[in-house]
Amino acid sequence: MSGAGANPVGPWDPEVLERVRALHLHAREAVWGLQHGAHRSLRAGHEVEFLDYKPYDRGDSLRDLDWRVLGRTDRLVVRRYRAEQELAATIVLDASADLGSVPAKFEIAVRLAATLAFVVHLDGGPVGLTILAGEAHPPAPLPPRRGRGHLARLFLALAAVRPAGRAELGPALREVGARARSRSLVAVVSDFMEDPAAWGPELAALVRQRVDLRAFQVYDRDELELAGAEPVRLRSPETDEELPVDPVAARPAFLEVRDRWLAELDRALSTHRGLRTPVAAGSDLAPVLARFLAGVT
Amino acid sequence: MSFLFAAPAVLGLALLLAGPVLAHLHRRQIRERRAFGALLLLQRLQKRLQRRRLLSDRLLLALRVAALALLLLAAARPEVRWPEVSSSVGGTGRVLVLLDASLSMDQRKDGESAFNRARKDAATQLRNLPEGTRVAVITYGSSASLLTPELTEDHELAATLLEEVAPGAGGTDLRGALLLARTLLEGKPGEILVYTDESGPGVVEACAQDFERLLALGSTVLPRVVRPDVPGNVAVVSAAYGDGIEGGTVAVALANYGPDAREVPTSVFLPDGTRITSFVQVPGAGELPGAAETRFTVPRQAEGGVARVEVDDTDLPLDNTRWFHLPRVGASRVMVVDGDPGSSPTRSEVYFLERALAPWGTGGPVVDVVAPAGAGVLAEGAHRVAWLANVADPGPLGATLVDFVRRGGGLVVAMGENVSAERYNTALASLLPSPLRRPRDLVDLDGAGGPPLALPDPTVDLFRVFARAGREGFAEVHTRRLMTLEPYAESAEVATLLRTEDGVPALVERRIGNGRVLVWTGTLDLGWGNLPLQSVFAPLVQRVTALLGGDLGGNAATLEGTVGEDLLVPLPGGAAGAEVTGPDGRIVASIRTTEGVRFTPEVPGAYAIQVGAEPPFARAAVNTRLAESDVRPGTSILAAQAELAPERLTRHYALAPLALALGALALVAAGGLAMRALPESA
Repeated sequence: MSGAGANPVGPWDPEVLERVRALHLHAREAVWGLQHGAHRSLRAGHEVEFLDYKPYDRGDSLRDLDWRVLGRTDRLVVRRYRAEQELAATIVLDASADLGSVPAKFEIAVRLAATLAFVVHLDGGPVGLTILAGEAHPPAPLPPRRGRGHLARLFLALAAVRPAGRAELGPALREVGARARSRSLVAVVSDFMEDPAAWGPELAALVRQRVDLRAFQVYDRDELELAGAEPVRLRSPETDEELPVDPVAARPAFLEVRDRWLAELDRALSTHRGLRTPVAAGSDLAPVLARFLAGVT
Repeated sequence: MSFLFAAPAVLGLALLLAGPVLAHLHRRQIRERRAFGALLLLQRLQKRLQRRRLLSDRLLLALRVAALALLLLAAARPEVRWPEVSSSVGGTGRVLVLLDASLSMDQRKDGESAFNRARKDAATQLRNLPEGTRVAVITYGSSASLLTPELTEDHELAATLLEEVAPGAGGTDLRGALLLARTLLEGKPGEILVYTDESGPGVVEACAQDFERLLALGSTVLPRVVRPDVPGNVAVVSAAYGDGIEGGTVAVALANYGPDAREVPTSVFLPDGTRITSFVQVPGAGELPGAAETRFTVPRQAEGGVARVEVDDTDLPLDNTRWFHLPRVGASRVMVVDGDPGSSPTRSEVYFLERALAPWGTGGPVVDVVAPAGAGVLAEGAHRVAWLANVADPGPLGATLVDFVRRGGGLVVAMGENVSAERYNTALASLLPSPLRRPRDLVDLDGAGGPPLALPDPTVDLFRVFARAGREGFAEVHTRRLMTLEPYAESAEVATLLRTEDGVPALVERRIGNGRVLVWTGTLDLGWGNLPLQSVFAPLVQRVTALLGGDLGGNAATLEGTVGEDLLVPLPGGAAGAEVTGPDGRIVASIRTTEGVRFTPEVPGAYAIQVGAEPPFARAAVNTRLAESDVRPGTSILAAQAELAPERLTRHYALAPLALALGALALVAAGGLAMRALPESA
């Protein structure tokens, strides 16, 4: 991880505290906004201990049906279990300057990271946070832990961070992979605006750890569609490089290039059993969360 | 068709064309800047966009320049003009068809001559004229002639007469035809259809006044041009035998009037039937006809007469042949009658003559030396030239010599101690230019020196070979004694060819029929002078032999003629009843005048002028007019008239609206493209 700046904002800065509250609020809204009972546990079903029986209801899995009880008593009951192993989750947030090119883009990235942390916390699992680039956040990653206090620290870090610098996804993912627990979950929130050839191979470390990789691609719709009608000079906040462009004339070719890049992105992730979930700036996180939860089986 | 500007000064604003270029260089500046998080994608796109922008920029520049250029052009009000007349004929009620029957109308397209096509078209035109229209048909080649009896309403008769017209090989008397047409119209307007190939330099230009007069009458000359799309023709423009003592070359010049270079087989046909062929490369015509020259070596022995050169050209066959005079070439059989076999070479005329005629012992004329008694073999006709060298008594030879000369033979009489004026005047009275008188000592005969000969006239045939060099050698010839002649008058028959500086005749010629007699009043040995030792002796003897040794008709006068033009042949004495025989062997109509025989050749070829069965006393090489061979399109009849009456015969078409519309279109397109133009880098 590089580009992590000092923390110019104090932990008790009113603005930060307000953002922390807002993050809490948004995370709870997103989680509770999901239909009650429609999501599953983040913990793996086959790594649990027996708890008790319950009568079979429509929709229960036949795999949980106790055939012996059925044979002896002619009653349909299903077995219930308690998870034996906790699922640790590490959330990686890309806070590079390009994420801040559109404020809403960075906002949704931070909010998504907080929500994911909240979901894991609710599920009783330990959750950690690694911030790539950016400024005004803890210089070291927060390792996965349980507890409300840890969640508060995590929220405080998310509230304080500002987009800055370059993410350098390749080395960062290699480091995360080296630290990640086996069979844990790693959720990367980034715009992935780096050449997939530069960071794709670094996912091998995560694969070795049998990590469940979730990639949340944050984007601004106008940017990826090259919106606009007048020629403009576009500047990268990361590199300060400028390119003049006529959006109208360049758009068809730009969209072709974009689609090729997305295909490259999917290829790099799927090679390492990763899943990409696009998250548009300003969008509702509930569907994203639902997809996140549904993806864990 | 011509292109001109009504306001050419506007074109001076062409400097404004630099405007779009400058505007193009000053590109639009982009002021708005925006943060962009997906620059990675733009970088990938950049290369492709740069290529597109380059194309777009060039197109934009081209459109801007084109727009301004077209608008400037429109402001200069360009227009095209071309001569045009209505295609309908018969409106005036009088239609005259003028059919070009000149040689150039023999131009072929797909094997058919322009004349044939014109004749058919004209006949069709006549038959399709409205009833009541009065018509007349005039053909013109070397001269113009009216086919129909004045103006007639019988279109069928006119068409039939027209179809019977034969093509000619003469010139193009368009002017005569227009004059005839004007006469027929009697001051009333009419339409004059001219079927022509419009080729040949100066033909149309010469008719400017006639066009003007006809236009003033309300008439119009409507050309119906018939010629191949790309006219071509290779013709022989000159052929001449290169002068030489013995043998020589025929220099042939070819002209190509077509645009493409050609290689044409070219053959020289000598009068004795010998054919010499060569392939000649002739460049294509530009502003001037393509020209090529070649030379044909004539055999050392060839009959004299009218020879011809032919090129194998299918475009215009009628002018493929050119006729020219060829003198007798090569060895003549010469008889030397030795009247004074010398005791030593210096006293032997034969010794000097033999060495002069055959310097290397072989080749050259065949020389038979006989004693006076053996000269009777002249009657057998084998010899062409006879030299009497110091023969004492020509009496027994008199009749033979007279007959020999009358048949065209050449006789040279040289003096000497044996010569008796009285006997010569008796025996050869009808041959000598003037009776001999007596020898005259110019200095002491036993001494040296004597007056030199005056330099001869190099334009005389006999001395032409000395024109470039050697003429001064005659001044080295000194004579101590000469035979004098009775006073005589110079005439067409008698001429003094050489004199001493004192004016004493040394060589006198007399023409008798086709024969010639030369009297050398000195000796052919060193007895009376030093001639045999001088440098001019050998060439003079050879030249005399060559000239006199022409074939037995070869001493005929040579004339050059052109088809369609009168040719006058001066009559020598005793040529009453002369007739002209054409190339086909038929007698050609001729008129006898006080100056001679006058005739008009209608076809090219060799013409002979003779009396009865006598050998021709003149030959004429008649050729076609060179101007007719030039088939390159000349001035258009319509254009010539349009210059005289532009308001009647010129069509205008203004190009300004078109240029304006195109300019506006280019402007709109440039504007649209500019709106969409890609900025500097992407």
